[in-house]
Amino acid sequence: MTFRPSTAWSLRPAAAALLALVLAGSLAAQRSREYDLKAVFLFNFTTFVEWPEDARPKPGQPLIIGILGRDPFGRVLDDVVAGEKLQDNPLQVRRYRTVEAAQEAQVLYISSSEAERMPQILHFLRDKPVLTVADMPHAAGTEAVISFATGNHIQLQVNPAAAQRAGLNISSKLLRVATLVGQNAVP
Amino acid sequence: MTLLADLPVQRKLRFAMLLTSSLALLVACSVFLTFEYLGYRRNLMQTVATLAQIVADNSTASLAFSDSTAARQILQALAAEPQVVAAGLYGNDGRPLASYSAGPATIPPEPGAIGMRFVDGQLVVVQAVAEGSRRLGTLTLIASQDFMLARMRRSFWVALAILGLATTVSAILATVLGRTLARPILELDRTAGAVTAGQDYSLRARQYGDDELGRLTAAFNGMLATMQRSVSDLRESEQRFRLLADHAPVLIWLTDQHGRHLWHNQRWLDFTGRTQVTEEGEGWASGLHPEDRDWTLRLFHAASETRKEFQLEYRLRRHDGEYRWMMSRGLPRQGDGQGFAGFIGSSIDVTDFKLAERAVAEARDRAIAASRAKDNFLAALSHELRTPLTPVLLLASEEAHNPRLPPEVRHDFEMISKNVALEARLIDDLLDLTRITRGKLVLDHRPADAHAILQDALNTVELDFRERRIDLKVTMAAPRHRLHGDPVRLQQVFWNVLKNAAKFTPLGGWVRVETHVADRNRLLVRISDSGIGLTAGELKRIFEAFSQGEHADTPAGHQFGGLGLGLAISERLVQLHGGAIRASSGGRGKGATFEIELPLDGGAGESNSQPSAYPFAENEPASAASKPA
Repeated sequence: MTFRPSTAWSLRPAAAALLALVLAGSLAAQRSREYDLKAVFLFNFTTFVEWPEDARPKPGQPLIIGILGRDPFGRVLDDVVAGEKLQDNPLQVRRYRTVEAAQEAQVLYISSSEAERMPQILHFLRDKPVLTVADMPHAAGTEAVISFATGNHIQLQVNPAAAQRAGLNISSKLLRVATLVGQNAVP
Repeated sequence: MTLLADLPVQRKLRFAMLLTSSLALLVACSVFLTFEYLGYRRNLMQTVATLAQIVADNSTASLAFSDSTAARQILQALAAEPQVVAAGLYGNDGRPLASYSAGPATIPPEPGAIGMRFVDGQLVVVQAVAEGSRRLGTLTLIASQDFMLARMRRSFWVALAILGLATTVSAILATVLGRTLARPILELDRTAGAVTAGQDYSLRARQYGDDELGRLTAAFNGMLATMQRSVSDLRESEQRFRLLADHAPVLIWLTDQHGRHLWHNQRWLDFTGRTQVTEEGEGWASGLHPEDRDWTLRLFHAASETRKEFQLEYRLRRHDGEYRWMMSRGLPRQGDGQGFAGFIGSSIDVTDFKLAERAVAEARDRAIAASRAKDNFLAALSHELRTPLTPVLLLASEEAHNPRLPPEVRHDFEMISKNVALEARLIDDLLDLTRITRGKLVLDHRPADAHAILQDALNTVELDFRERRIDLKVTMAAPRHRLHGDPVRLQQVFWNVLKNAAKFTPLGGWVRVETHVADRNRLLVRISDSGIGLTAGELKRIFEAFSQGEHADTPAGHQFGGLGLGLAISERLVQLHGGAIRASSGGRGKGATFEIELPLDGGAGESNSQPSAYPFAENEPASAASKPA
């Protein structure tokens, strides 16, 4: 504990410096930063969502975070989940080409590259206990359980109706930091 | 506490009560404030810890999804908690996601270690934020103690106000109670002071109640009553003593343990004409005769050493300058339970007595000397008178019976012989008397027969009886008559009494001689006559020398003749034999009876074995002749 609240120490110069850094940084850096966060978010979703009993992996079996479509994370997501566990289940990142293959995952990140196929994919996964996370805003017409709406910062959009259909129980804490979308938007 | 010692009791009591109550209140207030502080502190810690838990729990999602807006909203809710002055949420990377601050406080740049601590008067709570087992970040809450301190300050002022109020009340109470409690003590002090100042033991302290102080007051009053009584007794006794001492006919004085005079009564001062002051110590000794001064003072010192009663005589100058003989007596007196305290003494003027005594002694000495001279003179005289008589008597007796001389001449010689024999007898009596008086008479004790001796004496006086035609009747009835004595002297005794009887019995009278054995083994010889008898006055002096009856003083008295020595000698002789002689008479003209009592042989009254010489002191009043004039 080295800080001293009574000193002239302040958050504001640091915040200003960070802002300057962001403004001055390249677009690549900005995107990289965005996906770092999204990787963490994907990882964090597992703690705020409950799967139905039969959809949970058996003890010892991995809980799978799947990536459908083009992978924007590189090694970042793998690094984030490396060594992590949810209860008895180690976390594992798997990449899929087809939606059929991807339905084994508990969390499925649907890349923005799949924007055109989105309705079909989601339709296929409808009623399946998969937490679908679409890397595009809900306004784009997705029916994913969670959507990333990127503005100044990453905003979460949760579709309670979709979650209900998937049999997923989303924590109210998550709901609080998210914007509710879709039918029956009020939880 | 020595500083307190001189304070009045009332103030001491007030001080003690005030101190006690103030201390008690102070301790109570301190304890109250301490518990208040500790309670507030624990309360604060619990409250802030609970808040931290709730906030951390609520902020998991915002941390998980880097939602600083939501995080800020959550932290903003802390505004309802006035203690919390700052809060910060940090990600796992240690960077702050959101912060809240009320007032000037700010959060630190880093979350710090998990835990709860006080830093610079602020409570810092660092709480891990986790969802399930997943650590999502850290919450730091900073709570100010100001609020608590403000409440503490309020409590302090309240306590102070209570303290002040209570102290004021207890001060008032202490003053009132102190006055009540101290009142008996003050009363005692006041009374004791008044008694000491005025020596007035009639004062009494007022008693308040019946507690220890009340009882002390009662005891003090009792003591005063006793003192009053004993002081008045003492005064009365002293007055009595002064009255007695000053009006006593003797001079009275007191000394201390060292024999120095302390006090003299008025009589002494009047006698010496001096004052109490001049007589004190050894001042009185300047009134002593110069010859008596040194040894008198020495004697006083010596008496103080022995502490015993003493008596002395010294000459003391009277106010008129004359030295008077004083007889003084000192008696040791006891002090107040401290043993010897000196002497109390008395002196009386014995000058007149001494003078009289000296006069008497001188007169006596003179009388004794005169008496001795007379005895010597008598002895010499008798001897010188008697010696020439012997050849005269011898010659006259021879010539009276000389047949060659004519009868007329023989008759004349007969007359000469008779008268010389009478004179020789008288001189012999005188010699005997002087011998007895001077203790020179020697008895020749031997066994003897009293009847034979009496018969010899009767034969000697038979002629006298016959000449005067006196009827003599002798009855020797004593069955025992042996005794131990000088036959010659006993015959002399009987002869004297018989001769007397013959002399004082008129012609034709009678004389009776009887012997008996009286009780206690004594022989009694009674010789009674029908003579002129004896008056009471004559009876008293019958056995004194040179005294005859009153008849001898009359002009016709000398018809009886004699010097009156016979009976005196007889009494001495009987006494020397351990016997007694008595005379009795019915009065003038009624005859006289003489009784001679002598101890018999082998009886209880046998004193015959006494020494033959009986020494008589010259001044012994046994003989009238030896008495000083």
